[in-house]
Amino acid sequence: MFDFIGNWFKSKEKREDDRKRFLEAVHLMLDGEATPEQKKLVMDKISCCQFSNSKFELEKCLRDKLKSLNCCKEMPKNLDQAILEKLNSQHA
Amino acid sequence: MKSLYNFGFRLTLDEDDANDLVQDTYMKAFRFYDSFEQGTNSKAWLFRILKNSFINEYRRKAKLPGKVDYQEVESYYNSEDVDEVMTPDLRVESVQDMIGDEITRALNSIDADFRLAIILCDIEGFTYEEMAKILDIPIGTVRSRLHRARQMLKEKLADYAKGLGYKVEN
Repeated sequence: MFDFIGNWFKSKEKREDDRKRFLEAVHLMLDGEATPEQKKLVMDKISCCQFSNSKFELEKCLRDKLKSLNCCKEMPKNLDQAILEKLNSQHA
Repeated sequence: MKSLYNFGFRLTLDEDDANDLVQDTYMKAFRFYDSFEQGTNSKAWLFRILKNSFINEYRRKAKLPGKVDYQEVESYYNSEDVDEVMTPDLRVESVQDMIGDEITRALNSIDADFRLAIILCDIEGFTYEEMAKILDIPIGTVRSRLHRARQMLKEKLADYAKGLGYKVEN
Protein backbone atom coordinates (compact mmCIF):
# COMPACT_ATOMS: atom_id res chain seq x y z
CA MET A 1 0.00 0.00 0.00
CA PHE A 2 2.74 2.45 1.02
CA ASP A 3 4.74 1.42 -2.03
CA PHE A 4 1.75 2.18 -4.22
CA ILE A 5 1.27 5.65 -2.70
CA GLY A 6 5.00 6.35 -2.86
CA ASN A 7 5.14 5.34 -6.52
CA TRP A 8 2.09 7.43 -7.31
CA PHE A 9 3.74 10.54 -5.84
CA LYS A 10 6.99 9.76 -7.65
CA SER A 11 5.23 9.39 -10.99
CA LYS A 12 3.26 12.61 -10.35
CA GLU A 13 6.49 14.45 -9.61
CA LYS A 14 8.06 13.04 -12.75
CA ARG A 15 5.09 14.10 -14.87
CA GLU A 16 5.30 17.61 -13.46
CA ASP A 17 9.04 17.75 -14.05
CA ASP A 18 8.52 16.57 -17.63
CA ARG A 19 5.84 19.19 -18.17
CA LYS A 20 8.04 21.96 -16.76
CA ARG A 21 10.93 20.82 -18.92
CA PHE A 22 8.69 20.73 -21.99
CA LEU A 23 7.28 24.23 -21.40
CA GLU A 24 10.73 25.63 -20.79
CA ALA A 25 11.93 24.02 -24.02
CA VAL A 26 8.94 25.51 -25.89
CA HIS A 27 9.83 29.02 -24.71
CA LEU A 28 13.47 28.54 -25.60
CA MET A 29 12.63 27.08 -28.99
CA LEU A 30 10.28 29.91 -29.93
CA ASP A 31 12.88 32.42 -28.74
CA GLY A 32 15.49 30.73 -30.94
CA GLU A 33 17.57 29.74 -27.90
CA ALA A 34 16.89 26.00 -27.64
CA THR A 35 19.53 23.30 -27.93
CA PRO A 36 19.01 20.51 -30.52
CA GLU A 37 17.96 18.20 -27.64
CA GLN A 38 15.34 20.68 -26.45
CA LYS A 39 14.05 21.10 -30.01
CA LYS A 40 13.76 17.34 -30.35
CA LEU A 41 11.94 17.12 -27.03
CA VAL A 42 9.38 19.67 -28.22
CA MET A 43 8.91 18.10 -31.65
CA ASP A 44 8.52 14.61 -30.20
CA LYS A 45 6.03 15.78 -27.61
CA ILE A 46 3.83 17.90 -29.89
CA SER A 47 3.61 15.13 -32.46
CA CYS A 48 2.07 12.67 -29.99
CA CYS A 49 0.35 14.72 -27.27
CA GLN A 50 -2.61 16.96 -28.00
CA PHE A 51 -2.25 18.94 -24.76
CA SER A 52 1.40 19.69 -25.54
CA ASN A 53 0.53 20.54 -29.11
CA SER A 54 -2.09 23.09 -28.06
CA LYS A 55 0.30 24.62 -25.50
CA PHE A 56 2.91 24.99 -28.24
CA GLU A 57 0.42 26.51 -30.69
CA LEU A 58 -0.80 28.99 -28.08
CA GLU A 59 2.72 30.18 -27.29
CA LYS A 60 3.53 30.43 -30.99
CA CYS A 61 0.33 32.34 -31.72
CA LEU A 62 1.04 34.78 -28.89
CA ARG A 63 4.53 35.48 -30.20
CA ASP A 64 3.25 35.95 -33.76
CA LYS A 65 0.73 38.48 -32.47
CA LEU A 66 3.43 40.32 -30.52
CA LYS A 67 5.70 40.39 -33.56
CA SER A 68 2.91 41.93 -35.60
CA LEU A 69 2.97 44.93 -33.21
CA ASN A 70 6.44 45.81 -34.44
CA CYS A 71 5.71 48.59 -36.90
CA CYS A 72 2.76 50.32 -35.36
CA LYS A 73 3.96 53.79 -34.41
CA GLU A 74 4.79 56.47 -36.97
CA MET A 75 7.94 58.36 -36.08
CA PRO A 76 7.65 62.18 -35.93
CA LYS A 77 8.80 63.62 -39.26
CA ASN A 78 11.20 66.15 -37.83
CA LEU A 79 12.85 63.89 -35.25
CA ASP A 80 16.02 63.20 -37.23
CA GLN A 81 16.28 66.89 -38.11
CA ALA A 82 15.89 67.88 -34.45
CA ILE A 83 18.66 65.47 -33.46
CA LEU A 84 20.97 66.80 -36.18
CA GLU A 85 20.33 70.38 -35.07
CA LYS A 86 21.05 69.51 -31.44
CA LEU A 87 24.26 67.72 -32.39
CA ASN A 88 25.38 70.62 -34.59
CA SER A 89 24.67 73.17 -31.90
CA GLN A 90 26.71 71.17 -29.39
CA HIS A 91 29.53 70.75 -31.84
CA ALA A 92 29.65 74.39 -32.85
CA MET B 1 15.64 55.18 -35.50
CA LYS B 2 12.05 54.10 -36.03
CA SER B 3 12.59 51.01 -33.94
CA LEU B 4 14.24 53.09 -31.21
CA TYR B 5 11.31 55.53 -31.27
CA ASN B 6 8.82 52.67 -31.02
CA PHE B 7 10.77 51.24 -28.12
CA GLY B 8 10.69 54.62 -26.38
CA PHE B 9 6.99 54.96 -27.05
CA ARG B 10 6.24 51.52 -25.66
CA LEU B 11 8.11 52.38 -22.50
CA THR B 12 6.76 55.86 -21.90
CA LEU B 13 3.37 55.44 -23.62
CA ASP B 14 3.67 59.07 -24.63
CA GLU B 15 4.73 60.47 -28.03
CA ASP B 16 6.49 63.55 -26.67
CA ASP B 17 8.36 61.58 -24.03
CA ALA B 18 9.40 59.02 -26.64
CA ASN B 19 10.59 61.86 -28.87
CA ASP B 20 12.65 63.34 -26.01
CA LEU B 21 14.03 59.93 -25.12
CA VAL B 22 15.25 59.26 -28.65
CA GLN B 23 16.86 62.69 -28.90
CA ASP B 24 18.50 62.18 -25.54
CA THR B 25 19.70 58.73 -26.59
CA TYR B 26 21.40 60.06 -29.72
CA MET B 27 22.99 62.91 -27.80
CA LYS B 28 24.40 60.47 -25.24
CA ALA B 29 25.49 58.03 -27.94
CA PHE B 30 27.38 60.85 -29.66
CA ARG B 31 28.93 62.02 -26.39
CA PHE B 32 29.96 58.54 -25.25
CA TYR B 33 30.80 57.09 -28.65
CA ASP B 34 34.26 56.12 -27.34
CA SER B 35 32.65 53.61 -24.98
CA PHE B 36 31.05 51.73 -27.88
CA GLU B 37 32.94 48.52 -28.58
CA GLN B 38 33.52 48.23 -32.31
CA GLY B 39 32.10 45.06 -33.79
CA THR B 40 29.35 44.73 -31.17
CA ASN B 41 25.67 45.29 -31.82
CA SER B 42 25.12 49.03 -32.17
CA LYS B 43 21.35 48.64 -32.04
CA ALA B 44 21.60 46.89 -28.67
CA TRP B 45 23.94 49.65 -27.48
CA LEU B 46 21.44 52.37 -28.42
CA PHE B 47 18.59 50.42 -26.82
CA ARG B 48 20.63 50.13 -23.65
CA ILE B 49 21.24 53.88 -23.55
CA LEU B 50 17.55 54.55 -24.10
CA LYS B 51 16.54 52.05 -21.42
CA ASN B 52 18.94 53.62 -18.91
CA SER B 53 17.66 57.11 -19.73
CA PHE B 54 14.11 55.92 -19.25
CA ILE B 55 14.88 54.35 -15.90
CA ASN B 56 17.06 57.17 -14.61
CA GLU B 57 15.11 60.17 -15.72
CA TYR B 58 11.59 59.50 -16.87
CA ARG B 59 10.54 57.11 -14.17
CA ARG B 60 11.98 59.34 -11.45
CA LYS B 61 10.38 62.40 -13.01
CA ALA B 62 7.02 60.71 -13.22
CA LYS B 63 7.43 59.54 -9.63
CA LEU B 64 6.02 56.20 -10.53
CA PRO B 65 6.53 53.65 -7.81
CA GLY B 66 7.17 50.88 -10.35
CA LYS B 67 9.26 48.93 -7.87
CA VAL B 68 9.47 45.23 -8.26
CA ASP B 69 11.04 42.95 -5.72
CA TYR B 70 13.06 40.85 -8.13
CA GLN B 71 14.37 38.73 -5.29
CA GLU B 72 10.79 37.77 -4.56
CA VAL B 73 10.07 37.09 -8.21
CA GLU B 74 13.22 35.01 -8.61
CA SER B 75 12.57 32.95 -5.52
CA TYR B 76 8.96 32.47 -6.55
CA TYR B 77 10.00 31.36 -10.01
CA ASN B 78 12.59 28.97 -8.62
CA SER B 79 10.24 27.57 -5.98
CA GLU B 80 8.17 24.45 -6.39
CA ASP B 81 4.98 26.49 -6.16
CA VAL B 82 5.39 27.83 -9.65
CA ASP B 83 3.19 25.85 -11.92
CA GLU B 84 1.51 26.36 -15.25
CA VAL B 85 -1.83 26.09 -13.41
CA MET B 86 -1.19 29.68 -12.33
CA THR B 87 -1.58 30.78 -15.93
CA PRO B 88 -5.09 30.89 -17.27
CA ASP B 89 -5.61 28.29 -19.92
CA LEU B 90 -6.01 30.51 -22.93
CA ARG B 91 -7.05 28.84 -26.14
CA VAL B 92 -5.28 29.46 -29.41
CA GLU B 93 -8.45 30.64 -31.13
CA SER B 94 -9.10 33.24 -28.42
CA VAL B 95 -5.67 34.78 -29.04
CA GLN B 96 -6.04 34.53 -32.81
CA ASP B 97 -9.25 36.55 -32.67
CA MET B 98 -7.63 39.33 -30.68
CA ILE B 99 -6.64 42.39 -32.58
CA GLY B 100 -3.40 44.29 -32.11
CA ASP B 101 -5.09 46.91 -29.91
CA GLU B 102 -6.09 44.34 -27.32
CA ILE B 103 -2.62 42.82 -27.23
CA THR B 104 -1.07 46.29 -26.99
CA ARG B 105 -3.43 47.26 -24.16
CA ALA B 106 -2.61 44.09 -22.27
CA LEU B 107 1.11 44.64 -22.82
CA ASN B 108 0.93 48.27 -21.72
CA SER B 109 -0.88 47.33 -18.55
CA ILE B 110 1.96 45.24 -17.16
CA ASP B 111 4.80 46.70 -15.14
CA ALA B 112 7.46 48.49 -17.20
CA ASP B 113 10.29 46.13 -16.20
CA PHE B 114 8.36 43.11 -17.42
CA ARG B 115 7.01 44.96 -20.47
CA LEU B 116 10.59 45.77 -21.35
CA ALA B 117 11.52 42.09 -21.42
CA ILE B 118 8.67 41.21 -23.80
CA ILE B 119 9.35 44.18 -26.06
CA LEU B 120 13.03 43.34 -26.39
CA CYS B 121 12.51 39.63 -26.97
CA ASP B 122 9.23 39.21 -28.82
CA ILE B 123 8.89 42.51 -30.64
CA GLU B 124 12.49 43.59 -31.27
CA GLY B 125 13.88 40.08 -31.58
CA PHE B 126 16.96 40.49 -29.40
CA THR B 127 18.72 37.35 -28.20
CA TYR B 128 18.90 36.52 -24.49
CA GLU B 129 22.55 37.53 -24.51
CA GLU B 130 21.79 40.92 -26.05
CA MET B 131 18.92 41.41 -23.63
CA ALA B 132 21.21 40.64 -20.71
CA LYS B 133 23.54 43.41 -21.90
CA ILE B 134 20.75 45.90 -22.50
CA LEU B 135 19.10 45.22 -19.15
CA ASP B 136 22.35 44.73 -17.19
CA ILE B 137 21.18 41.43 -15.73
CA PRO B 138 22.40 37.82 -16.02
CA ILE B 139 20.93 35.57 -18.72
CA GLY B 140 19.20 33.43 -16.07
CA THR B 141 17.38 36.52 -14.85
CA VAL B 142 16.41 37.39 -18.43
CA ARG B 143 14.78 33.99 -18.70
CA SER B 144 12.93 34.20 -15.41
CA ARG B 145 11.80 37.76 -16.07
CA LEU B 146 10.51 36.76 -19.50
CA HIS B 147 8.69 33.81 -17.99
CA ARG B 148 7.00 36.01 -15.39
CA ALA B 149 6.24 38.72 -17.97
CA ARG B 150 4.54 36.23 -20.27
CA GLN B 151 2.49 34.87 -17.40
CA MET B 152 1.35 38.38 -16.59
CA LEU B 153 0.49 39.02 -20.23
CA LYS B 154 -1.52 35.81 -20.43
CA GLU B 155 -3.43 36.74 -17.30
CA LYS B 156 -4.35 40.09 -18.85
CA LEU B 157 -5.28 38.47 -22.16
CA ALA B 158 -7.42 35.94 -20.35
CA ASP B 159 -9.58 38.82 -19.12
CA TYR B 160 -9.98 40.08 -22.69
CA ALA B 161 -10.74 36.57 -23.89
CA LYS B 162 -13.47 36.29 -21.25
CA GLY B 163 -14.81 39.61 -22.46
CA LEU B 164 -14.97 38.23 -25.98
CA GLY B 165 -17.07 35.37 -24.69
CA TYR B 166 -14.43 32.67 -24.59
CA LYS B 167 -14.40 30.24 -21.74
CA VAL B 168 -11.08 30.57 -19.96
CA GLU B 169 -10.06 28.02 -17.40
CA ASN B 170 -8.19 29.25 -14.35
